[in-house]
Amino acid sequence: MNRPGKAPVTYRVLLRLLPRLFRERHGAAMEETFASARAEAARAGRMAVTRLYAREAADVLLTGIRLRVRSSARARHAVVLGATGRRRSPGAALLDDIVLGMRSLSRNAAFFAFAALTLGFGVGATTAMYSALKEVVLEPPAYAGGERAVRVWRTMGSGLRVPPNADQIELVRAETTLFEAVATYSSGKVTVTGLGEPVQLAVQRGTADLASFMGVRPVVGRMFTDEELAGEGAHVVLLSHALWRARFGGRTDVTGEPLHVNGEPWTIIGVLPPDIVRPDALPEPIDLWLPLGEAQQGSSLMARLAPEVTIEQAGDRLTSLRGEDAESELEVVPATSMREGGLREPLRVLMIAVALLLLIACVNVANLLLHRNAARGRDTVVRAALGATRSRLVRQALAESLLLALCGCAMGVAVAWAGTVAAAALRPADLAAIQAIDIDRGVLVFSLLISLGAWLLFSLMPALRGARRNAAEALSSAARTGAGGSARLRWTLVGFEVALSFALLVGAATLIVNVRDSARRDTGYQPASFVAMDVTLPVWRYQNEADRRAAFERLVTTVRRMPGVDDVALAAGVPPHMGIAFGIVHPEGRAPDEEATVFHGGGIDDAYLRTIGQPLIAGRTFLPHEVRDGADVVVLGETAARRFFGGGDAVGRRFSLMGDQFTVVGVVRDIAIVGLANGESDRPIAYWPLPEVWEEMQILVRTERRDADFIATLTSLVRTMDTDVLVTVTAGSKLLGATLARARFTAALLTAFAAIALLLSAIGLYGVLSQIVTSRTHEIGLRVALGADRASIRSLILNTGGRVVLAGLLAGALLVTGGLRVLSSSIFGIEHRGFGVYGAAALALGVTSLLAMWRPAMRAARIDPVRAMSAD
Amino acid sequence: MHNTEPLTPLSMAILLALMDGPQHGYALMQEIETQTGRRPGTGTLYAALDRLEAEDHIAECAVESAEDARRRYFRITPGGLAAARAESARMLDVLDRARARSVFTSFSTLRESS
Repeated sequence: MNRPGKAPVTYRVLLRLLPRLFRERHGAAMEETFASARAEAARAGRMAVTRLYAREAADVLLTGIRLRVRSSARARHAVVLGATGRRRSPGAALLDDIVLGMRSLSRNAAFFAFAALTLGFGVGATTAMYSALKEVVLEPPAYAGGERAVRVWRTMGSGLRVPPNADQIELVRAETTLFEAVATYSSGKVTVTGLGEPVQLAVQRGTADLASFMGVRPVVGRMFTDEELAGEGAHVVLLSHALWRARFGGRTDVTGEPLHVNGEPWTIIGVLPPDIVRPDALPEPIDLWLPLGEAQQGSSLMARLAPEVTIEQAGDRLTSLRGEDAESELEVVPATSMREGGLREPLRVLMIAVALLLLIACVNVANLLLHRNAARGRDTVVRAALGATRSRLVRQALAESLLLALCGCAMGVAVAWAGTVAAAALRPADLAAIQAIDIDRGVLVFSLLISLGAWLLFSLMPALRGARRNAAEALSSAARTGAGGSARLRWTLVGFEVALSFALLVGAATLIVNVRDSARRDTGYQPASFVAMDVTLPVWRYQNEADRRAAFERLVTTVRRMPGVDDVALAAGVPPHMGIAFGIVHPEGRAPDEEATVFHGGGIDDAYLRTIGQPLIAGRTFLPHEVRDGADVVVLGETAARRFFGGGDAVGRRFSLMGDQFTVVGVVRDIAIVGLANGESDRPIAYWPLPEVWEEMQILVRTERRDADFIATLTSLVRTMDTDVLVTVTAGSKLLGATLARARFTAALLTAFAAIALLLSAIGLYGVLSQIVTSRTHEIGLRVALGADRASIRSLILNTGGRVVLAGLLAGALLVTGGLRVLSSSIFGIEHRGFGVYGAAALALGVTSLLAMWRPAMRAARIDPVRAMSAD
Repeated sequence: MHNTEPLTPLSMAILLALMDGPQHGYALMQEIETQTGRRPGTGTLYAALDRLEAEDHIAECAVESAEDARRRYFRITPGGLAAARAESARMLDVLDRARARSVFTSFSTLRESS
């Protein structure tokens, strides 16, 4: 029978909040209704279920209160006193307490709002951040056996990772005791025509074993056969589920139809299941699967570890197998390492920050509750004196806390949800992984429990103490002294908050200064002086190299004639997205290097250096005929020239690389070739005359113009040559700026956390100082009566708070110095930024603290001695 | 003429929903959402049903096709019908007074459709 199922235990527990009679009468039907609603919400997703629970919890709670309030208006008086002798069921008594709690909280709306907000921010921020960490770093790829999937890289001496070569793939395949399964694949883009406008689609090429490795079975049609995978691979293709639905209307008779891939007819043989992911867990779509023929090269290698084999064991074994290849070794890394894309460190830093925030939130809530309980001390004592039992008083304090905690939790869920939505909306373009964050339920529960625990601890303790106190003593003194022990505890908590906030502030300021300095770094070229056009020719019409070169040369000539254009260059890459080349360098007249060198740079033409504004230090750039003939000449960067030819003049010297001899014709300044974020500018640079023109090239245009008209003219110029050309135009400075997007994002998040922490500390400070002023009204009145002037009273109060802030600052400085030392050793670009940062953080904290202390201090200064002393 | 207590919007929505025949809790919940744009929680809904039952505006009834023994169906009683009628009259009254004060310029079209 297909029913919505039983209502979960949580809901049945919730029903205990309703009056017994009502529950007996409607409970079963309510459970059934809830189960139906839950089944409906479950179809809409996890968030809908979470929202349903939150709404139902609030609704049942409020209904329980309303039903009771309605049924016994008269009993309420006894409840308030807590002295009723009538025996009531525990559930009923709890609700009585909650009714009382609501009444008392509604009289202290500001306290209530602060406390709920505090808890909400702490829980929400922690949950959102941990969910992001889990989604991006911790979750294995979503296919069968994904938790044991690893990626095998060929790692060069300099740490650069490239796909393994054919021999190395065979080595790995032979290790059947280490790996249960091995699969190779490669990813790329193709242009598909005949489906309306030409479109660029993401393809994955896979060998026969990739489908079984990932446990993929086509929903329509079949996988590749062995014959189709032989040689270069047959022209057969599997469609992604989404593409099939969108472009082929989900027809099951689609197999056998042609698809024009790069201008050639391919045959559709099947459709992939809807939930397919990339084997390396990168959150990018796959539109088509093509066969990866045996003869094809440059494949990425994935393997599944055999049971009992650890990633370290596999790594050690492969290192010992490096074989003939002296330049590189095989490295085994978790499958998700690509998805992380350098996010692991920033996310950890943010996780630490957010944990501090949760701690501050807990401290603050504890502080607020201590304040509240101190203020209520007298009230408690009166009730105890009138005969309320101790357990009754404790329960009442608990009920009020529970109510606050529930509201705080609801806030937490809301903040966590808003946080993940905001993070997804604000994420920089290269952080695609953040797109699909789901709130992690486990950590939500964990954060809620932590904050609930802190809450209960600090609300229960004073209640117990208050219940034990001697009534007569308390009545005479509670109003005046404000409980010395509790005040000391509260000052300690405030100091702790200040310290943690200071640590967060320094962290945020450090990141901001880092980002600013990176943005200001001398890049070595002039990114603001050119725009880059990424042009992809329809490869099927430009099959041979000569055609492509002719087409691009024609384009360059046309663009050069445009008004406002100073220079035009053709290149295979543009900073910060240059190519790499590696190999053992053998300089003339010296022994060959031991380790392979990784060069950044690649193929350029004679106009390139002028166009991007990279200055020559010695020699010359390439001549047009050198570019045309592919001469064996090279232009080196300063670092490369120094490394191979010492301090002397490198121009005219020769070296060999991968069996070819090259003559150095020029030396250029080093540039920030991989962008600004990494802070390195001393990587070896080498340029060669454009060796080959591929279908996708960069046309760089040196110009003063950035306007939309100009860009549109550029684009249409290219399109008039061939309508199937794909072209995007981006400013050089924008390409460079994008490399800082991630650091900016991290800095923005950390700043937000620090701001919240600062606000929470200010609230804490304000709360404690206000209470101090209230409890010392009598004493201050006396001082004024004895002749103290207003200013001295004000500074008396400010001094009290100032000492705690100062102590917190010092503790925070110690904490952050130790913390930064640990963090700066990690790869994430945090360095110790000197005392300016500390000063700025201290200033922000000082000013905020002063603002928080000002009102209580002014209130103290305005105390009227006559009224202060006559009260009570 | 209005000799009954005014109904809350939720009670009115429940009575209107039951005019088409007996309903169970979940169906009522969905119907009320269609009528008012807001879905009541289970607590609110059953508290309202409890009150309406106590006021003899609705009554529980057996429905043969019920697929779940826990499902309880409610039907409207003659008293409930009268209350709904009285409430509608009260609403019309309110509308008349609103028209007299020119709250709507297009009141006549509203009147026709009601």
